[in-house]
Amino acid sequence: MNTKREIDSGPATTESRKPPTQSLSQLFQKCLQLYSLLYRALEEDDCEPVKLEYVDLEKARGEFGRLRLWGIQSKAALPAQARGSLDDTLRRDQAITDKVADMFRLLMDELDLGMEEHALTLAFNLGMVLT
Amino acid sequence: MRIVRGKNVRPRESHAESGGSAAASDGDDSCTDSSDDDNDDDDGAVEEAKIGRKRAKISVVMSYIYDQVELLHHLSMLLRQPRLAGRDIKSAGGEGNPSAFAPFDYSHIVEKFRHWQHIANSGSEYFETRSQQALSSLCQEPEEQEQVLSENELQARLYMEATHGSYALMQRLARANTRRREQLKYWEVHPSRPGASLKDKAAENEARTQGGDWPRTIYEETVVATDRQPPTRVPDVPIRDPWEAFFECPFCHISLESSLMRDRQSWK
Repeated sequence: MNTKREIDSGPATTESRKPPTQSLSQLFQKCLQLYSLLYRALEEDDCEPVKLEYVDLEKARGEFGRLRLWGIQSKAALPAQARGSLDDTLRRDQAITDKVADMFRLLMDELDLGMEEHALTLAFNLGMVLT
Repeated sequence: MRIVRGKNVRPRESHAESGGSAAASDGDDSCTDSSDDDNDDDDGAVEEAKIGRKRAKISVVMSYIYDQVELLHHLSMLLRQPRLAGRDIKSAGGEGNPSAFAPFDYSHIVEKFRHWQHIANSGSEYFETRSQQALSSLCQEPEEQEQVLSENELQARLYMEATHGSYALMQRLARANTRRREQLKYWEVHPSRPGASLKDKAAENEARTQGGDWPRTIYEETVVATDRQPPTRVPDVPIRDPWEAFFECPFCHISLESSLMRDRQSWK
C-alpha cells in the first residue's frame, strides 16, 4: 500500500497529516469533502482530463457513491460519540483504529494529489508551463 | 519552480498524443525555417513529454483513489466481526482498565492446566516444578509483582509455548473468564427489568399532564375457558321440525334454510 506513495512528485507523508486526536468520523468526513472537491473540479465543463478521457467521470462518481455507502454501512458517517458508530465499535481495538485512520489519511493524501494534478493540468490549459 | 507564460502550447493536440514525442512535428507551415523548426520540435517534444507524464499521473492517482475505496470495502469484512462490536457489556465505565480479577483468572487457568497435565503425566516432575514456579510468581506481593512477574511470566510463557504451545489458549480462556465476570458484575449493577423504562416513561408523561385525561387504550381481559366457566361459543342450531325446509332464527329472526344449517360452520 505504501508503494502508492512512490509517485514521482514528492508524496505527502502520512505523519505530516497526522493530528494528535482526530476521530475516525472526522477523518471520514474530511475524505468525503476532499473527494467532493475533486469531483466538482473534474465535473467542470472545460476539464481537460475528462474531455480527453484520462479520467472517467462516471467511474469517479460511482466510487464517490461507494465511499459514502461504505461510510453509512460501517457507521463511519455517524459522529464519534454516537452509539454504534465506527469509533464506538473500535474503541477497544486501538490497532485496528490506527489502521483505519491510516487508510483514511492515505486516501486524503491521494485526493490531495489528485487535486494537485488537476490544478497542474489546468495551468497547462491556461498557457502556463511549469519547469 | 519557475512559471513561464506565453509559450505556444497546444494542449489538445499534445494531450492527444499518447507517447508525446514521436509525432510532435508540425507539418505545413513549420517547414520553411529549418533552425526554428528544430527548436520548435525540441520544445514541442519536451512539452508533450511533460503533458504525457501529467496524463499518466492523473490517471494513476485516480486509480489509486479507486483502489483505496476498494480497500475500505474489504476492510468492512473485518469490521463486521462480532468481537469488535462488544455488544454484551454496555457499561462505558472501566473501559481500557484491566480487571482486578484478571491475574487470578489466569492463575486459575494455569492451575487447571497444571492439574490436567499432572493427571496426564503423573511422573513428570519437571513440569511440576516449572509450573509451580510460574504459579508462585503470580501469587507474590503486589509491590514486587510488577518486576518479578514479568520476568517469571516470560519464562513460564516460553516454557508453555515450548512444551505444549497452549499459552495462547490459556490466555484466551482467562480473558473469557474475566469478561464473563465483568458481564455478571454489570448485570448485578444493571438488572434487566423488561418494560421498566417504558413504565417510567409513561409515569413521567402522566405527571407532566395536568388533567391526566389523555385518551388511552384500555384492553379487555382475555377470557380463558376453565372447568367452572365454559368458553363463550355460538349456541347450537335450535331444535326444529326436520321436515321444514326453512326455519326462523330465534336470535336475528332471519329465515334460514334447514339443509344448509346442518353444517355448523354455515350456522355460525
